[in-house]
Amino acid sequence: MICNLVRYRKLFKFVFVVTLMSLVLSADLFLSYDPLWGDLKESLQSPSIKHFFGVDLVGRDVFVRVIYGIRISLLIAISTQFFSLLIGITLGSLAGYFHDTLVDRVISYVLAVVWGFPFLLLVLAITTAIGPGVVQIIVAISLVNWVGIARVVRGEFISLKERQYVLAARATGVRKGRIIFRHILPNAVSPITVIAVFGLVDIITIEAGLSFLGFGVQPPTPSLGKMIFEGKDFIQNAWWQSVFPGLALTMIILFFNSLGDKLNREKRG
Amino acid sequence: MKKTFLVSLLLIFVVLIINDLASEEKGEQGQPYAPKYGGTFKSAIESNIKSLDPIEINDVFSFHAASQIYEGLLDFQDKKPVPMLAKSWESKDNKTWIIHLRKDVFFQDDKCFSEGKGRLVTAQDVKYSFERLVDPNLKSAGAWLFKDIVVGAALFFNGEAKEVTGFKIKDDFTLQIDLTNPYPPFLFRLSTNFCFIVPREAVEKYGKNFSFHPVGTGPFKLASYAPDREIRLARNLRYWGRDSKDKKLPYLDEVNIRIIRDDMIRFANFKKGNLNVTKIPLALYPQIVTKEKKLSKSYNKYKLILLPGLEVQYYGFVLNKQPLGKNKALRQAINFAINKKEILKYILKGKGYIAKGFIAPGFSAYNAELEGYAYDLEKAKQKLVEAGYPKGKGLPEIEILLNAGTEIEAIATTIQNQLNKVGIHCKLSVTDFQTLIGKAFKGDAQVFRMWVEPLYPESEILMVQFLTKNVAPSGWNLYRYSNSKVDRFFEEAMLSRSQKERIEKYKKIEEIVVEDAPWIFLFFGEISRLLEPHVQGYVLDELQHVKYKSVWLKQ
Amino acid sequence: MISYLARKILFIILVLLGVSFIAFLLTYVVPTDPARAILGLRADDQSVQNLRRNLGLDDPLYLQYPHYLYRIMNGNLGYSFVTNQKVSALIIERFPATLKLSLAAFGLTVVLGIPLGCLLALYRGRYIENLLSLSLIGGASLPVFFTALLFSWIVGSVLNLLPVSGYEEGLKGIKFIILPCLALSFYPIVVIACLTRSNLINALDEDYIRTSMAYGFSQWIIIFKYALKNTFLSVLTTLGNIFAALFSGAFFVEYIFSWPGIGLLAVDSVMRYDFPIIQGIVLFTSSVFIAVTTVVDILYSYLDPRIRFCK
Repeated sequence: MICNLVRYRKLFKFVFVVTLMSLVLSADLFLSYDPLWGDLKESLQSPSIKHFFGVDLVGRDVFVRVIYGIRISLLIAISTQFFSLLIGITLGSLAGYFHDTLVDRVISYVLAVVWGFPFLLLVLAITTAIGPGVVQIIVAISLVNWVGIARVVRGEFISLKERQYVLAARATGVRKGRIIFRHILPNAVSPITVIAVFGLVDIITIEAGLSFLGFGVQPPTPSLGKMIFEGKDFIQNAWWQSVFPGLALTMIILFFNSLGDKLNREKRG
Repeated sequence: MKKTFLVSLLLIFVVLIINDLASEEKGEQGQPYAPKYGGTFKSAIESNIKSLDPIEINDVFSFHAASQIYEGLLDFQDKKPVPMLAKSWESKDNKTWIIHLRKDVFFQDDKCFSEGKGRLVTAQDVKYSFERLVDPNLKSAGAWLFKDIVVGAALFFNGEAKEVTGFKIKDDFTLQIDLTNPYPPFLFRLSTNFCFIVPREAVEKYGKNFSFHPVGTGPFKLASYAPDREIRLARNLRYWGRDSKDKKLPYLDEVNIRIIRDDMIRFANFKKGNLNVTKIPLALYPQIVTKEKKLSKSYNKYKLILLPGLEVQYYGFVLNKQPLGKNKALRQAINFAINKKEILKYILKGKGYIAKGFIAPGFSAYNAELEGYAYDLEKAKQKLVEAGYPKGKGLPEIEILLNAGTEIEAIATTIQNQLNKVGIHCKLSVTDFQTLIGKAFKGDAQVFRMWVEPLYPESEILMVQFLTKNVAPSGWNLYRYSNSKVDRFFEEAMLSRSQKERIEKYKKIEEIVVEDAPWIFLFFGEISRLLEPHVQGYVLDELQHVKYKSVWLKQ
Repeated sequence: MISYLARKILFIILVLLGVSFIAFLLTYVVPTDPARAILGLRADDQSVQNLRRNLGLDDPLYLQYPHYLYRIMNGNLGYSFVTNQKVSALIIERFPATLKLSLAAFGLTVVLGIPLGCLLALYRGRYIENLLSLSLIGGASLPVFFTALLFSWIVGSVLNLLPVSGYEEGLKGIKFIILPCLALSFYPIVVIACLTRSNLINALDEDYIRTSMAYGFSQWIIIFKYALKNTFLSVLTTLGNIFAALFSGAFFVEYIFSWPGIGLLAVDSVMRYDFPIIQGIVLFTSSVFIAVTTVVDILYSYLDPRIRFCK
C-alpha cells in the first residue's frame, strides 16, 4: 500500500506542478483583482471566499499578488540564469580549453576575484550604482552569478579536452571553435544543467532577500520577498500577508531543488 | 464672635495655601510628589548612534543619548525658554545678545582634567564650543547655525580669521553675541544640540575619539557603549541641577539604552518587562489606542503618552522640472485628488493628523482655519482642465522618488492609485534615504517624498525652506520655490519686535505657500509612547525629546 | 610542496589586490555623496564641500587608489566617515560575534548533520526516512531569512521560549545564540545530512564493507572506521564551502536577530555610505573566505592520494 503511494507520489507532484505553472502563466485571463492597486476599504481582511489569501495593507488581493509575484520571481530567475550561462559558458569554455595559457590565467584571475568578493555586497553595490528595478536586478545578479557557472564549465573542459574524440578532432584539423561548441560542450551539458537549475534557487533567494532589504523590485509590482518583508510586522494580526508569499517562494524553490536532484541522479546513472 | 470669625478666616486661608502648595508639588501623573532615588531605566532606540560630539549630531538617536550627557545655554519647554547653563539673557534689538552664565556648573569628572576633576564652566567654554561649530576643519553639521548671522563667523569659516569676533567674552560668566542682522529666533538656535557646551581639554585629549568619549555638564555620563547592543549612562554625581524641592537630580542611577531595530521585537521586550518605555508599532496601534485616543482595555495597566508631533510628511515638487514646475493648476489638481482621510484611516490606522499646510498644531503659528486642499475629485478634474490636461490627456508620466519602508510605500502606492483615477499616471522609484536626498539636492527628481522634523519648536525653521535665497544646492529649499511675497514677509518678520506680529507674517507665508502648492501636503505626525505604570516623571515634548533627569521609578 | 604553497600565496595576494580594487572602484562609482549623508539635510553646501575635501573624496581616482593601497600595506584600514573610529578596531571588535555564530552554526551542522545523514542512510527506503527526507528538503527550501523570521516569531514571540535579540559575553550569552544559530545552520544541516546519506549509501554498497558485514563485524564500528573515512573527503570540501558561506550568509540572520557582528556592521555601513568600513569589511571577508577555501583546497589535495600523485 505504502509502496504504491510512493510510486504515485512523483506523478502527483508532476501534475500538481504543471497545473500550478499553467495557472501562473495564464493568470491574466481569469483573475479579477488588480495586483498593483487595491481598494483601501478592504484593507487587511482575512482569507475568505472572496479573497482566498486575504487582503494586504493597501487593499490588494494577496492571492493575485502571489501569482504575479511567482511570475516575476521566475522571470527574474530564468533571465538572470540565462545571461549568467551566456557569460559563464563562454568564458569558462575558453578558460578550460586554453588551460594553462594566458587566456586561462586571466580568466581564472577574474573568476577568483569575483568569487572572493562577498556576493551580497557586490550585488548591493551594483544595484546602488545602477538603480533598482527588475531589469537592473537581472543585470546586477548576472554580473556576479556567472562565476559559479564558469568555474564548473572550466573544470569540465579541462578534463574533457583530453578525451579521445577531442584529440582525434584536433589531429584532423578541425577548427578550435568548432571543437568547443560541437564536440566538447554537448558532453558538458549535463553538469551545467544541474548547476544551472540549482543556481536558480540561489538567484531566487538573493532576489527575495534584496527585496527584503529594500533594494529590488519597485512597488507596486509584487515581489514575493518584498511581500514577506512588508507583512512581517503584521504577523500577529494579519499573518496571511507574509505566510502565503513565503509558502509560494518555498514551493518554487522546492520545485527547482527536486528538479535539480532528479537531473543529478540521472547524470550519475 | 469676632475672634471665631478671624480664626476661621485664618484657617481657611491656611487651608487654601496648603492646597495650593500641594497641587504645585504634584508630579506629572498627579501622584503625590515623593521621588525615589535609584534604579535603572531601560529604553531602546532603533538604530546605532553615529556620534556623541554635539557638532556632528544630526539624527534623533545620537541626540537622545547626547542630550543626557551635554547641556546647552537654554532649553525650551512648552515653547518657553528654560534657563540651563545660562541663567539669564537679554537683547534689546534682537541683534546683540548678552548671556549670563550660571556660576556653579562643573564639567563631569574625567581624566582629561587635572586630577581628573571637572572644572567650572566659563564663558570661554561657550565661545570655544560655538567656534567649533563653524570650524572648517571639523565635521560640523551645524555650521549654518552661526555662519551667516554671527559677526565674523563667515570669515572664520572661510579660514580667513583666527576667531569669531561676534562672540565677545565680557567676563568669565558673561558672553556677548553680535549678529549681523536682527534675528528674533536666535534663542531657539542656542537651544539645539549644536550648541551644547564642551570642554577644550576633552577635545584636545581625545581628538578623533572624542565622538565616543563625551565630557559634558549633564545629569548623566557615558558609562559604556557597545554598538548594536546598548548604551549605558550613569548618574553624574556632580550635576548642578535640582528639582523644585531643591533635591539633587537625577534620581536614576543608570539609564540603559538598548539598540533594537525591529519595532515588534522592541514591543515584545516591553511587554516582557525588559523595557520601561516603548513606541507603539503601527501594526498594533489600533489594538492599543482607541478611536478616542485613549488606552484600550487590554492595555490599561500601562500609561499612554499621545501628543501631536511637529513633524510633517509631504511630497515635494522640484519646481524647475516641467511640467509640474510652471503649472500651478496641475499641482493643485494633484493635491485635490488625494483622499488623505482614507490613507490616515486605513494605512496609518489613525496615527497622525491631516496636514492642510505645513505648520503643525504644536506651533504657535498653527492656523486651524487654513483651507488647504480637502479631497475633492470634481475640483481636481477642473484644475486638470485648467492646467491643460483634461482627464490627464497629454500628461507625461510623473516620477515619484521615495525611500524604502512599508508604510511609506503603502502610502505612495495608494496615492499612485488615487491619481490614476483622475488620469494622472505616476511611476514610483524606491531608493534609500541618502540617495533620495542627494538626488533632491541635485534636482534629479520631479517629486520626492520627505518629512521634516523641526529642529526647534518655532515656525521660523519651517519658513526658511521656502526662501529664494535658500534654493538648493546652496540651501535646503529643495523645491526651488521662489515667491517674492514670501521673502518680503519673512524679512518683515525678522525685523519685527513683536512675536504676535511675527506669527501673523508666518501665517500669511503659509497661506501663500499652500496656494502655490510646491508640495503635496499630507500628514502631521503623532508621538506615542507606552510606559510601565511605575515610571514617573517621564515627559516627552513635541520634538520627542525626553530628559531622563526628571524620571524616577516607583519601585 | 613549498613552491606550490608559495605560488598559491602569491596568487592569493593578487586576488586580494583585485578585490580591493573593485571595492574601491565601486564605492566611487556610486552616485550618492557620503559627505551629505554624514552632515544631514540642513547642512549648508559649503560645509558639505569642506567635508568632501577633508575626506579626500574630490581627488581623482588615480591619486586616491595608491594612497589607499599604501595605507592598507601599513595595516591602516582608515577611519569611519561617520563615527571616526578606526576601521580595523571596529572590525576586530565586531568579528568575534560573527565568528561565534558561524562556529556555533558550523558545529551544530557537523554534530547534527552527519549523524542525521547516517541515520537516513541506514533506514533508507523505509517510510519514515522518505517522510523525513521530504520534510527536510522542504524546510531547507525556505529562504534563509524566512526561516529566521519563522524561528524568531514562533519560538521567540509565540512560544516565548527564547529571547529574539540581545547579546552577552561568555556563558551567559548562550541563550541569545540559540535561535540565530538554528536559523543559520538549518540549511547546511540538511545539505550535509543528504550528502552524508548518499555517500554513505554508496560506501556501504562497496564490496569490502559487505564482506566485513558478512563476517559479522558490528555495523556501527564498520560505519565509523571505514565508510565514513571515504565519505570524509567529499564532505570536507562541502564543509569548507559551507563554513565560508555561513560566514557571509550570517548577514540576514544578524540583521533579523540584531546580532552585533560583521554582517550587521556591513548593512549599516552600506546604508550610511561609510566607504572606509565597507572597503575594510570587503577586504576582511574576502581574505577569510579565500583563506578558508585555499586551506580546504590544500587539505583536499593533501588528503586525496589520487590527486597528490597525479599532479
